[in-house]
Amino acid sequence: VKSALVFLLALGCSSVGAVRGTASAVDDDLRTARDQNAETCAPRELAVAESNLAFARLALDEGDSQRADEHVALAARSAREAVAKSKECARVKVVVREQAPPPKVTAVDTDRDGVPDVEDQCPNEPGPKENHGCPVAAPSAPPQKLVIVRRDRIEIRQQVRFRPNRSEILPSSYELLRQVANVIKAAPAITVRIEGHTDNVGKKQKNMRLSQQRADAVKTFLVRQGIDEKRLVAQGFGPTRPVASNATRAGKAANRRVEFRIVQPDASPPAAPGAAGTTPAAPAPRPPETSTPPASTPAPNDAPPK
Amino acid sequence: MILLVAACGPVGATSVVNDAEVALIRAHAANGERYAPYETTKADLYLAKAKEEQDHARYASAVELARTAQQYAESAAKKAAERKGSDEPPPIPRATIEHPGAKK
Repeated sequence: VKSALVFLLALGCSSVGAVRGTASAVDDDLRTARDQNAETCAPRELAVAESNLAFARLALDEGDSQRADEHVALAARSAREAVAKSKECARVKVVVREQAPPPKVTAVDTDRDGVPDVEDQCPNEPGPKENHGCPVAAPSAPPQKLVIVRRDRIEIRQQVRFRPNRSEILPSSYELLRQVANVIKAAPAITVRIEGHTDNVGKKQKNMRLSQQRADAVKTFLVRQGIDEKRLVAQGFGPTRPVASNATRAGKAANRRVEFRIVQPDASPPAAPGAAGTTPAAPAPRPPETSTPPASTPAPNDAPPK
Repeated sequence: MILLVAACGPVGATSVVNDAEVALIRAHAANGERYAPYETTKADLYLAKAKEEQDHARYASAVELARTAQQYAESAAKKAAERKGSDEPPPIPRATIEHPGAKK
C-alpha cells in the first residue's frame, strides 16, 4: 500500500512537472507568435492558446492536473498553429536606405544668355529663350528716301523745319539732314551751296537775315555730321527767289524753303552707294525744271519764316 | 448566517456570469467575430471556463473568469463598432520602418 501511494504521488508530481514544462514551451511559442504579428494574422489561434494556457495554470493551482493537461495540450496545439499561420504574415520590415544625392549638373552657357548650350541654337551669341537663344534682329526701319541727287542739286522730299521766326532746326528734320550729309560725304569732290529762302511777308531785311541764319544753321548741322566746312556754302536769299506765288498761302509755304545746290559738280556724278535714298544722278535724265521747286514740299505751318 | 454566506457564492457568480453573457451577446451582435476575432474568442473561452468553474462550485474562480470574459466582450463590441463605423478593412500586417543610418 505504501509503495502504491508513493508511486501515485510520484506519478502526480511528474504529471504536474510535465504540464509546467509544456506550459513553458507554449509560452515560448506564444512569444514567437506575438512577434510574428499573430494577433492580426492568427487571432483565434492566439486567443485559444493564451486562454488555455491560463486555464491550465488555474487547473494546476486547483490541483486538477488532468484538466490542466488537457488545457495545456490544447494551448500547445493552438500556439503551434498561431506560429505557423503568422509566419507568412510577419511584420513587414521596410529598410529605407539613404540615397546619395544626385550629382549636380551645371549647364554650360557659353554666351551667358540664360539658355544652356544644349538648348541654345546660337550658343555663341546671346539671345532670348523665346528665340532659342539666338539674337533677335532689331526691326530696322525701312530706309526712307528723303534725298534724291540730281545733277545740279540735292533734292529733298521734306522741307527743313525750323522754330517759327528762328533759325533753330527742329528735331523732326534731323534724319533728313543726316541723309543729305551722307550724300555729300559720298561725293567728296562736290561743293554744296545751302540756300535759305523766305516768302515775302515782313520786312525784306529781316527775311534776308533770317534766311541767312537758317542756311548757316543747316551748314553747322552738316559740319557736325562730318562734312568739311569748306565744301559748304551757306547763303540767304530772303524773298528774292520765289518759286511760287506769294499771293496764296500754299505759295508762301513753298517759298519758305532750304535748297542744296551743287555748285562744283564732280566729273563723275555723285553716287552714294552707302547713302540711304540716293540715286545715281548721271544716268538719270535731267529732271525738268518746272514751276515745281526742286526741294519744295510745302513748309509746315509750325515753321513759318517769321 | 452560514447559509447566507454560502448563498452569496453561487448567486454572486451567477450574476457576474450573466453580465458576461450579456456583454458577449452584444459583442457577437456587433459582428465581433469578424471585426475583433481575438477579443471575441477570448471572451467566449473565458465565459465557458467561468461556467465550468461554476459547475464545480469554484465560484471565486468563476467570478474572476466571468469578469475577464466581460472585459473582453466589451472590448470586442467596442472595437467591432469602431471598425464597422469607419468601414475599416480587415487588419493588415503592421510594418516597421528601419532607417539604418538613423540614430536610435
